[in-house]
Amino acid sequence: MKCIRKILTLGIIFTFTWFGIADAHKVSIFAWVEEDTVHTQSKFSGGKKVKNGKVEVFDTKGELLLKGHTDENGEFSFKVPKITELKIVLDAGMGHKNSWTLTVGEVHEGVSATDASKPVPSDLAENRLLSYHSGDDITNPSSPPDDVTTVLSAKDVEAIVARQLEQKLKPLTRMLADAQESGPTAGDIFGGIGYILGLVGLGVYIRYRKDDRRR
Amino acid sequence: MYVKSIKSAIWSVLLTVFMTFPAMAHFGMVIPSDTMVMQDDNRDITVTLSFSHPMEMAGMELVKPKIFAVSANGKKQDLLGFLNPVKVMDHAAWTVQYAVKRPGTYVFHMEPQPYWEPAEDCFIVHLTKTVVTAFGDDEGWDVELGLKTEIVPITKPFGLYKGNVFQGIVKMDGKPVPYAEVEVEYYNKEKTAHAPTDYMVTQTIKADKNGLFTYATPASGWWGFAALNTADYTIAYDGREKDVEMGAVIWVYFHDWK
Repeated sequence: MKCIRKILTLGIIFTFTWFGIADAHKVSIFAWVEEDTVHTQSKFSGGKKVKNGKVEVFDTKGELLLKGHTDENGEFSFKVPKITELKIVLDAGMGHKNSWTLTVGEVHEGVSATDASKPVPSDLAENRLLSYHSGDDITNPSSPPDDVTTVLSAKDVEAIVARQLEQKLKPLTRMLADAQESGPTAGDIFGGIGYILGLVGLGVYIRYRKDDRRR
Repeated sequence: MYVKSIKSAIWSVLLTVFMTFPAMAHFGMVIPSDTMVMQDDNRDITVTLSFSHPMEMAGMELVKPKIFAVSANGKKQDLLGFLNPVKVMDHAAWTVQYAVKRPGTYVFHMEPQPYWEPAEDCFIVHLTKTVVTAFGDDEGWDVELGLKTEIVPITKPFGLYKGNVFQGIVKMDGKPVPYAEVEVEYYNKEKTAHAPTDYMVTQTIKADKNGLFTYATPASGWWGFAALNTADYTIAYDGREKDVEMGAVIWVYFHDWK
């Protein structure tokens, strides 16, 4: 009887703790390209920086290009190893893993710095915005500035095409990624075992309780 | 028989009088195309500004606002110059394309020009905001922008399921407003929601003595919370000083539980 109770309790505890870990502090990594350098920042949900987390950088073929560790501020930077899609994987230990993918377009765009040609305001375009608003001689303030047109080089066009292509292919890539992810993870398996143990324990407990009462 | 018909006549008059009142609350609206920009999402979001009775899908004119800005990662950015005119519910509205490039919590907020409402004999100014988060960041969602009047969220204002409660503190000049009245409406975009009675178009709740209010949403979609107070100033209209209804509005999206 005692043994059964133990199994039951263990089963329940196991189930709950296993699910608990994953959600309580999710980890995230973000990467961006500035000139020829890729910057990354890693955080736990809630904002705590990931210190000394392992970062690995892969190309599309899954080949490891380089690796390193996040610093005190959760940051890790490296020179663009080659113009390719970069999958940057953060492993903060204890099963806290996440990744960020920089598309070829983004890597190329960063390297050739054509970002200014985009007429859409963003969180990066502050200086341009401020100078735009301080100008008194602007006749039509309701339209985005069109004075920032730049002459496109072959390289730029290549980057734009790459970006567009990336955008169009995204649903497909995503489907592939989803398909890869659909198998059960270790968490699912152990959680499942926990559930089974818990339910078996519960069943046995109820059965024996009936017997106890009869006695 | 005679008495009965008088009774029903009185009832119908009373009903008409009362029914016309509770319906139709005004709402400033700031609605983004996405509230949680993830790695694979479109990183150019569209934010639409309008003024309406959102549950009944009745629009009003929104002239170009006085202020439209975004605050993120401790910085404020003016977006007024990037607004493009559009129509929302057949009335003047505004839209902006915004490229989200870094993780962060982006609070978009608008201060409209005072709107003259003859039916209520007052001006209406709704300081309206909404929160968008990006790329795994989730700090700063409870930031106070320091507006004249503002709803400071106590519930993280993104990643909510329908049925979740939403809590916020109503503030005026940085101080909580005890027992503030908060009107709640659903953005009936697809016109699928029908209020059984006019009382149920707008739901009204009151904050507690600390200015804290709570509301549980019955459906997924956009929900607007408008805390209404009378401003400490008046605006002249036709040679007379008129009251100003100062609204602190926040728009929050609730997702389906699947």
